[in-house]
Amino acid sequence: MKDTDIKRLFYAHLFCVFSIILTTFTPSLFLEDFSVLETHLTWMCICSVCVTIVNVVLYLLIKPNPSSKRSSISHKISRLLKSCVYFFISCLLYHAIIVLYGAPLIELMLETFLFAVLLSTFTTLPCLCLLGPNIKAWLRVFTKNGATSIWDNSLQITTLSSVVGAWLGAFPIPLDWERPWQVWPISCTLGATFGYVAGLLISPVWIYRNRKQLTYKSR
Amino acid sequence: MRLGSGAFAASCVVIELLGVAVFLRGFFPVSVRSASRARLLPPAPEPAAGTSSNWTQLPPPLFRKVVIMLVDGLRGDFVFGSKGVEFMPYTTYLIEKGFTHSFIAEAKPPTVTLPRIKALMTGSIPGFIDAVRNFNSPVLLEDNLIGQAKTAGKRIIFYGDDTWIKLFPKHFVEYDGTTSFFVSDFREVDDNITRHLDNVLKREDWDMLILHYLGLDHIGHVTGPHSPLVGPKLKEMDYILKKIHISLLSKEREASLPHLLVLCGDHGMSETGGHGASSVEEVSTPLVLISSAFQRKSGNFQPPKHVQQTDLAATLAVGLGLPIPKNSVGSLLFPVVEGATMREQLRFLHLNSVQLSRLLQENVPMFEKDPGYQQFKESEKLHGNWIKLYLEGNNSEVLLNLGRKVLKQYLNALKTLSMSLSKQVAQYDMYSMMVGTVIVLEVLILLLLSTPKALCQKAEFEIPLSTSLLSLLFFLMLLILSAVHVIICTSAERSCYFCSISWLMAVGVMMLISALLCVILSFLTNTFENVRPPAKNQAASSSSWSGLDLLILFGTLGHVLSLGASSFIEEEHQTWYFLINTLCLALGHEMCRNHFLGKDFDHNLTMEGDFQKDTEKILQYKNDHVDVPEYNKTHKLPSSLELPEGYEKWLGLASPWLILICCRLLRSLNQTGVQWAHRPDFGHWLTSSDHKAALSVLAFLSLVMIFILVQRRCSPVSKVAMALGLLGIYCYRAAFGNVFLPWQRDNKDISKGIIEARFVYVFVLGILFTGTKDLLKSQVISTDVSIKSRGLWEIYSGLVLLAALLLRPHNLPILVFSLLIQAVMAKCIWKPLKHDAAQITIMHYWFGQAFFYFQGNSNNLATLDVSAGFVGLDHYVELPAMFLTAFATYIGPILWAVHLLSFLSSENTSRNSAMGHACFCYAVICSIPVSAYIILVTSLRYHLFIWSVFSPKLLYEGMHLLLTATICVFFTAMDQTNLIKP
Repeated sequence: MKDTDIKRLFYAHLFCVFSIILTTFTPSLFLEDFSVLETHLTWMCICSVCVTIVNVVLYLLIKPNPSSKRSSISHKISRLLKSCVYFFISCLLYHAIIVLYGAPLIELMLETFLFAVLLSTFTTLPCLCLLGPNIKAWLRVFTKNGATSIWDNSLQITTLSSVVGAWLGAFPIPLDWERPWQVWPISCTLGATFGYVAGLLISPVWIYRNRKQLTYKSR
Repeated sequence: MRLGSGAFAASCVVIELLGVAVFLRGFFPVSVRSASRARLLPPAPEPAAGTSSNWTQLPPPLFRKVVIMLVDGLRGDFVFGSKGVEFMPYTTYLIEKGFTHSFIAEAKPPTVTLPRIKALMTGSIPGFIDAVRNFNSPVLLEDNLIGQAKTAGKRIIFYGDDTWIKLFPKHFVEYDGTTSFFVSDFREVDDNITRHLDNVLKREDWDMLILHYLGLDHIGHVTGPHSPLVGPKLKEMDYILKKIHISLLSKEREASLPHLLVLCGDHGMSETGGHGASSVEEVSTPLVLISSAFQRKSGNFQPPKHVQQTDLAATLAVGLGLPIPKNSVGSLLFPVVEGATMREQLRFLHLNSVQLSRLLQENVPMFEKDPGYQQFKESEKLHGNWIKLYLEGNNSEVLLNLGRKVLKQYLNALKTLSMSLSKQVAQYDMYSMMVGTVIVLEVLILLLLSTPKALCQKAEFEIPLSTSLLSLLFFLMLLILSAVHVIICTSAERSCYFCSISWLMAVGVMMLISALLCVILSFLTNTFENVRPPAKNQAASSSSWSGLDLLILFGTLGHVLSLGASSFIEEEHQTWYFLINTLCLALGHEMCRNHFLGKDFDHNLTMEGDFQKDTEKILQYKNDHVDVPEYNKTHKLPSSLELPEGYEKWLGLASPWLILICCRLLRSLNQTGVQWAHRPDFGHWLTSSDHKAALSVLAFLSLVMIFILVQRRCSPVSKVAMALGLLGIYCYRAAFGNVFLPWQRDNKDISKGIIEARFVYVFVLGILFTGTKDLLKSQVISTDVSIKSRGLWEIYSGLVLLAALLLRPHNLPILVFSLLIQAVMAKCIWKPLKHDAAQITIMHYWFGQAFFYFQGNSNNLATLDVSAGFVGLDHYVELPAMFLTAFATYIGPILWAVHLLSFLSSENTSRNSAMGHACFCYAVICSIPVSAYIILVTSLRYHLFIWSVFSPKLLYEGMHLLLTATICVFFTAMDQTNLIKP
């Protein structure tokens, strides 16, 4: 493992964090009365679109995994389509899990779905970018000791921290503080976002500190 | 002494139960009440030094008719503040012109209607425990004003909130109750009362009229105290008051006594419109007494004085010539009787102070030292002297002045007496609480310290009881504690429960405390001396901490921490639903990994070494948290050897999702808690009369499903009994009018279904008996393990039948889903994934807790389903009713615990220790929250919500611990049979 790899990872993550911070401030320049809490749905849309774009651009720029041998256009397109389908399925799956966790089934459907989309952007999208639409690879990465590169490690950390952030974000909802951010799903989206950002920042540091122990076995 | 972990845990929980009982006794102050409930004391004669007075009877009434107009949720400033001036012009006019005596009456929390009505009519402060004690009998049994008035032959008419009719079922000659159920109804509730007024006010055939208006409270609940709807409602109330007042005035004749009109509120309203707690807005209510008898005060209008709500009962009793209710802690509102002669005034005050001092005598052991009592004795003596002078015909100015002096003394005495009585209710008995807490904490520490040993393979360990009992430390501790006990009890000013029990018992408890301490210390020294070297090994061996273990650990810790916040207690069901959902997802993840990566798993294991450093780090962190129930389990990684194929595999993969869907459905069956309790749910939809057919179909299907799920492991006889029993349940519900019977179209006569219910009870007892017989057989003859597991299953199915009888029909799906989830988890999750006894126990506990809330329970006493106590009984019988209510409330935890027992006995026949482990884990997982909660409650005892939120939860926790103790004892009994056999 080279230090340059970690450096690249670090800069890429920093860029992601920066883009998320931008989404909270820039839209108020273009949109009237925009704020993260009050027009939360707009922010959620902007944030997921922005994170998607940044992720895709970074993937195209950095190309962490050497591309496979067959790189015909039709293959690429089929991969792209497959990725889109996978992304959509993951949104639905997240939506189902959120409803199973107790979110209202019919009311606030849009809010719940956008939360699912946001969560998918934080978790599924990087997976799609890095691993491609390949379930076997996903399962490998998300088992203990399944990582084969620092990118896999960072994927593990950011995904886990986003999900845990969203999970922890549900806790303030029953409290009777009557704050605007306690409304469904704001605390959860904020939790997921903070979790994602924390994961982005922590993973390069963690990988750097543990670089001696991390020896990857080639597949 | 050698003990199995099960027996050890059971005895620990029993001791803990004792500690909790002592704590509860200290925490819940017993309300001040007179013991002589039955006999009516003759009124105290007028004191007269030497001579005998001719006034020995009760004084005659001051008022002929009394109208009490109670406006629910009327806040102090609605009458006396700017709103009153604006919207209640007539009342304000009366107050300012001095036709009235007006006060701000302070209500004691809980500021809810029922206890407030009790306080107004009995003059006592209902203690928290009274609410529980009188839960099953709605009738007010305490001595009260209405009862006294009825005995005296007064005719009482009541219109308004039907709570009154439940409290006083046979007291009113005429009544019309309105229900306060529909909060969104602002007009109808009040119009239903007002429509009677014209008629009643014309008539002469009543002495007391009580009106309870609900509209204002409803407006408050829905829109808050500052909504535009409040003004018109106050105007309406003002108009009604004017109408009553004018009508009363017009009927007053010269010769007869005057009338009295009382305007009061039962509680106030917070700034958001709710009530129940103890903020200033909620406790301040207006109290306006209007009568032509009152002397008009000169112009200057003074702000109303602050008095207690309980004072009204004594005042009304005096005004109507009735004896003051025995348990009243209120003092007479003196301005009301100011118009009477000096002798009469003194007489009234004397009666009131005699009543209060009697109450004090019966409730305070050292009442002679009470300043109020001393003042009372003093003033009684002066009063006697005054009467003597008076009877001698002395009638000078000096006598009048002397009378005024006695009067002042009396008023002071009353105030002090009333204060010290009220204080009696609101004080914590810290000493008893401390003793209870110490016992509970010691037991918890003991349990946690012994966790590693208890969960080892043998599930047996040595308890250094005899050595610690003979140690010097034990005797020293005992001596010190006894000395402390003597010092505290001799210096205590007020009554203390722990001091009032016999000294033998007290010494017994002290011995228990010091013995526990000694055992803990010897445990600790043992651990430090012996276990040091193998500690490393242990750490290495337990490196197989799975995500599931972490989830269980953090879930338990998180739940305990969440008990510190009142909102989390109110919404505790959310915590449990959240935890079991996460548990199911974790299980699903494990399942996936097991199925898809089973082959790669062994391969991956070789790479474990890379992560050795991190795991060690995490382990060190884990070791800091000693309270890990599953400390050194030998949790084997799921092996890939026996992976089921095809259909089985997909069933296994789908099972967590199936459980999740079941939980989601159950969750929408009963909305519970506080914040979202008003949301529509299936339960309400089903119970509404429009959907009776749907409910019938659902109940029938559920009963069929219950039969299908239960019968698979029953003996043929029990199968038949089960089927008949379930049929009986449907007939019972049909007789009760909940569901349709296909062949019975005209169910006009709704019986209580007593015969049907008793029919079911016979089968329940029969099945339980068969189960017990099997268990005894397996113990005595010890032939076959399968007999034992079958016996346990029969007991389980008997309990299921009883639960099906007691649950309301719309809750029957809960039972079905519970059985379904248990079956699915047993078949697809616990067996293939090879969870160990500790993990299975904790999962059972979590699901049991979640099902407790699925049933519609909450941490509030209001959701207790009391009707279960009346199933099959034609009148209230205390013992069975209490048992049935408790069982019906805790159906979820009980069924899951019994299922755990039967599951373990059928599965782990090879491992004897499983039962002991399970019992131990169950004990630990239940005692951690109880102990933490006791400490939390002690530190939060002056919290605003202590009575509305924390205390009910404390009662639930105490009850849950009692249940746990029973379950653990049962476990141990089963475990013993297993130990005897080999």
